[in-house]
Order: sequence, then C-alpha cells, then structure tokens
Amino acid sequence: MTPRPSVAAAIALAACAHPSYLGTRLPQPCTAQDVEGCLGWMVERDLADAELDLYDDAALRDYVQGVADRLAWGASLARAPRVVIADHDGTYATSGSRIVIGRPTIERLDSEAELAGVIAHELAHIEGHHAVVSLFGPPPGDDQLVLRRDAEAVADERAVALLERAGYAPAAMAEALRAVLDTEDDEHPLRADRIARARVMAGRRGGFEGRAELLGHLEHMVVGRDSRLGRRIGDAWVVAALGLAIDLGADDVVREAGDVLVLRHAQTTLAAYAIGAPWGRELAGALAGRRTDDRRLGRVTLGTMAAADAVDGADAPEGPDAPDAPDAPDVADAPARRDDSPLGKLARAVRSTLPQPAVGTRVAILERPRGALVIELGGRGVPDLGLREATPGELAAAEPARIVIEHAWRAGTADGSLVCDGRLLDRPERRVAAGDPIKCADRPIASRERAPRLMADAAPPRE
Amino acid sequence: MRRVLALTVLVACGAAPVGRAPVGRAPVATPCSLHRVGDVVVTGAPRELVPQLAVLAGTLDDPERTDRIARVAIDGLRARGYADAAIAIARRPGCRVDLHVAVTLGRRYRIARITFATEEANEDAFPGAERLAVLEDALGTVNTVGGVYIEYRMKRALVELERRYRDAGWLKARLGEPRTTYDPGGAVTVEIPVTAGRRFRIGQVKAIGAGAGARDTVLQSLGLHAGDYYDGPRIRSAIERARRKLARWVELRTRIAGDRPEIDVEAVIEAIVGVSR
Repeated sequence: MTPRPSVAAAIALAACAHPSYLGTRLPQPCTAQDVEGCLGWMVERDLADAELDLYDDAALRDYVQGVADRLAWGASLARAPRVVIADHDGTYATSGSRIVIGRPTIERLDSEAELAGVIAHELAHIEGHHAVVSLFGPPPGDDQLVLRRDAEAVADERAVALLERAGYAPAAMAEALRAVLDTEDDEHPLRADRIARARVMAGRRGGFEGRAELLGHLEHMVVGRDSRLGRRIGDAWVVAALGLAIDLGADDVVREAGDVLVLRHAQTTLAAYAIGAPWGRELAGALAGRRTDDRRLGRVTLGTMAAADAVDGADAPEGPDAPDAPDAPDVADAPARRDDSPLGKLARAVRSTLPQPAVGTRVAILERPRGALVIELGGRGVPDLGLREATPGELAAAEPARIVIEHAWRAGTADGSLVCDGRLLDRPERRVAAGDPIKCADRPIASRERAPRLMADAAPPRE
Repeated sequence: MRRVLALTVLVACGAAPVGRAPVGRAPVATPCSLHRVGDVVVTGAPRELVPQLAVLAGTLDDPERTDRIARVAIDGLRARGYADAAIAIARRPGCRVDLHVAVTLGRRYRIARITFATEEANEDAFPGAERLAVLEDALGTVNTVGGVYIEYRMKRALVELERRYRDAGWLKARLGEPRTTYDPGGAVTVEIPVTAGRRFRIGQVKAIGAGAGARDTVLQSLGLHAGDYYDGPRIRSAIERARRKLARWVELRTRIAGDRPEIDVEAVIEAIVGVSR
C-alpha cells in the first residue's frame, strides 16, 4: 500500500520530530538518562529562555570560568563545572555540574581570590554531590536540616583548601563570606561562625589576591537591578529589553514591584512582566480559549491560563492559524492528560518553577523578537492599554548604571580617596594607596535600584 | 626531551602537568594540623561513589559530623542500588588526620518486576502501562523495571497513583505499602497491594440555577451521559469550559448514590461573574 501524501508527510514529520524543551532540542544528557546533566541543562535554558535572567557578557563569563577551571584543577572532579552568570543575586550549584553566580554577588566582591572563594564553595557542593542529595536523598525533615548545615560547613572549609591548592590567598574565603552574607537561615551555620572558621583555617598564609584582575573585568558591568526589564520613565513603564512602553494614565494606580508593573486601570487590574521568547510562545500556545491577533507590535494571544498539564510541551502555532473565532475548538479544552514519561515529569517539575500566571488568570501575551510581555488581567473587560514601541530617548533612559574603575588620588580609606563621590561601590572603610583602583558606579544609584542581598547557597532542590 | 624534563620537574615540585596548571600560581603551603583532615583514602569502591566523604579532604576534622556524612553516603549508595552497602571509617593522625574509608558495596540490585496484587478478579482494570508510568522516576532510572528501587519516592508516587484511581472512578481505591523481595542474584521485586473496589459510573446529571438556556449550555458542555465511567479530568475540564462560555461561576457537586456504584453530578450555576475567580 502506498501511503497518501498527508500520511507520508505525517510519518516523515514524526521521524524528524525530536523532543525539545523551551524550543531547543534536548541534548544528549536528557536522552541518555543522565538526570543530573539534563536538569543542569534545563536550569540554564530557563535562565536564558524563560526568565531573561542570564547576564550576557561573554568576556566576564570567560574570566569567571577561568577562575573555576583553576580551582577545579585541585578538586576531585573529572572536568570543571560550567559557570553561568545570572542577573539575580545569590550563588548556587545546580545538578549537571553547573555553578550559577549572580552578577550582584560579583559586584560585592573585592578581589579575584574572593570570587574564587565563592566559586570554590559551590564547587565543593558539586564535588560532594550535595545538591543531588537534596534531589534524590530522603525527604526533608529535622535531620535534613542538620545534614544541610553539615554540607554548607564542609563546602566553606573545602573552599579554603581549594583556594590553597590553586594558590589563592585562603583568607579571601572569610572576606567573601563577609561580603555576600547578611542574613541567617536554618539551612546554614551562623554567619559569624562561618566567617570565624574560615579565618582560623586560613591563618596568616598569603597567596594571590588579584584585586586589579577582578576590577579590570568588572568595568562596565551592570550595577544593581537591570532596569532594562522594566522601569518607570516619566509617564510610561518602559521594558527596554523588549523595546516596549506602556503609557500610564493620570488616573492609573501604579505600583512597581521589581521588574513587574502592577497597574489599576479603569475596572481592570493588571500585572505586566517580560519573559523569554520560547517560554512566551509555550505559554501562549497553552492558553485556554485563546484568540490570536497579529498586530504591529507583535502577535498578541489572549486567553485563560490553563492547568499546568496543558503547558507540557505545548507549542504555539507557527503561523497565523490559531483559532480566532470565539467558539472555535480549542486544543487546551480537551481533557488534560499528564505526560507521564520520565522526561515529561522532569520537564513539568522544572517548568513549574518558571514565571507564569496562576491557573484561571486571564492573560494577554505579546510576542516580540527578543522576548514576550505577559499581561495578567484581573477585573472586568480588556483595557485599552497605551502599549507602544519605546522611543530612543526612553531606551537610553532605561539603561542601567554600570561600574567604572577610578583611581585613588591619595592614600587612606576608599571614601576619603577623593573619587567616586556619591557613587562608591567599594567598602567605604577599605584602605587604599594612592593610585589604587576603586569600584564606582557611573552615576548615583538610588537605593531601590540596588538588588536585594541574598544568602549564597547550594541549589534549592528542584523536584 | 626538554618537554619531558620540564614535566618531570613540575610533577616533582607538586605542580600540575603542563596545560592544566594554574598559570603562575604555586599552591599555598599549609602547615601540619591535627584539626584538619588530610587525605581521604577510599577502599572497596571508587571514590566517585562516596563523594560526600571524598570532599572532606582539607576540611576541619569533626568526627561526629563525619559519622553523619557517612550515613548520607550510605543512603547515596542505596539510592544507586547497593541495598546492603556499609561504610567503616578509621581516623589516622599524621601530618593531618587521614580518613580511611572502607566501603562494602555488596550486590547491586535492580528492579526485575513490579506487580500489583489484588484479590478482586475483575474490578481493577486500571491501565497497567499508565500505572507503571506514574511510578517511574528520574528519567527512567528509578522505580521502574531495570532501575533502582527508592522507597520514599515509590510511596510518593503511590499517593499520586491512588489519586489517579479515584479520578478514573475507583473512588474507594487503596494502595498498600509496597512489599519488596531482594533476590541474592541482584533482582528486586516490588509488589503493590491494590484494593480497587468498584468502579463508579455517572448517575444523574443535573444543572441547577440560572435560566433554562444557561442550564442547557452547561449540560451540553459537560457532555456527560448516565452510565459512562466517572472521569475526573474530563469533568473538571468541561466545567471550566462551561464557566468560560457563560462567564458565570459554575460549581460542581458530586454525590455518591446511596445504593448504586454511581456518582450523581450536579452543576450549580451561580449569578456571579467568574472572571476574577
């Protein structure tokens, strides 16, 4: 029997079909039952393609990776972990031999040795398979907290040993902890104890510090919150990353929550935020009762957030052929059946951690070339938003502050060095010699523009 | 020849081979200390199997903590299928305190069979493949035939499977504690007791509240017929569809008919706009 053309095409398509995640073909770890490798790959894809949370600076990443490579040489790992620089604060090791280090964390460090200390701590978590213990070990309980604190203490101490082996000044570990920690929690030993232990272990031994090396790589790095994901400029909310602006009316009640705009507009309340383009397409494709409209600004999909099962790998239609008519049959209306394949379960668990509206929320998603704007709608009706292309002036105003390196005019403390007036990023009490490099912002930064400080940590378990 | 000589000198000095060494950075000399762990020597298994202990090299020597970490390492080995794994640690003071970790792996077990034991001949017709798929975990490496048995994850999966049973109409289904048998040949068989009970069907289907038109719309959306097997996901999806069509809140009430294995379904249409719910 000769297959009909449509059947043949379907067979050919099926043969070519490859499982994908966020629009990217699954790599070998995912298809070869390497759970850790697959999870690590997904975490990195999430940062890049869903959360718009990857700090895109290849030179800085290469530099930080070089530090990790140097430390890994003294560790018991077959290969160095891959370092990813995220735009959020905190540092953690993930499955799949990845270290995610936050740009705001790097901003607070004073030397390459301190950076090495932060990386060495996470590298020790990877060496000790601590994140994997969280993932596949026994369920959390009281004992688990003790074990978690053990793992954190071991990672601090092992980090000192790794610094020693790589030739870094071991005392930098205590300095790094002092710089990045300012809260306490149940899962870590007390901050003061951690710093004291690291100090005792390091003693007075010297080693490479590399302040100039670190600062040389930080010049032009974004400082604090990256305002390109959302910033109020005059009477508009500008999402420069997507080239969009929302005009704010005089009667609108506006609240800014980080990168999220919350707005009460006539009878409608809305929340707007940017996400990655592949995640935007997946969410749009999974909306129930959706209507799609190609507009000048991009494709707009309006619908209701369906249960999580409906989002499993749902791909948005590629062409303008999505159901438009109000009563058109809707794929998402079909009874949701879970993808019970092991990969489906893993992908579902990871997807559940991505930014997304609550089930049942009315949503409009505007797809742009470099991402998507999610608008969650509450109240009645669909508001007539003043959504438009951002002007060149708005885009320029939305540019975030960046680091500049200036040099002390005289010896003393950093704040008495006659540079960086009102823009100092170094510790004010830091002792400097004349001519020493000092970390400053290129403009004064309002305190709310600074990213909140979080605890450095091993990866939160993602199940 | 000069390259070989250079390599020999570097290795003798404790530096790394060319190409991997941290450029221009000699390791920081560390004095002897009985407060710090020196080497961790692992015997009986590759170091990679006990990473939690191997990473202690260079840390502070804390015997109690080491014992706790050894227990974590044993759990890790069991999660890899070494159900009888044991670890003994000896501390040997020298320049520092070396840890000698003796691992007894024992046999590695793999799941050979997962069965569902029921005494009810005809009632438990829950699809077998779906049942096993709910249990399977970690990209097909855990709680599946050929994979490793991890008890707490199996118990977690059984809670989900019991929910699926109820959703498919076995409203009184109970899944018991999994029973495992370890065979000296390395096979583990898992038996899961199932008491499925009777499978419920749809009884009466009614829509109440609002006008006749709205009630008809809801009934049409539900598409349920008396005598069909109860199907939770399908009913929830239909209710959601009806809510959107009517822009009204529709409440689903289900009631088990007293004397029949049937569920009566009642859709209550409220005069509240449901957009913001």
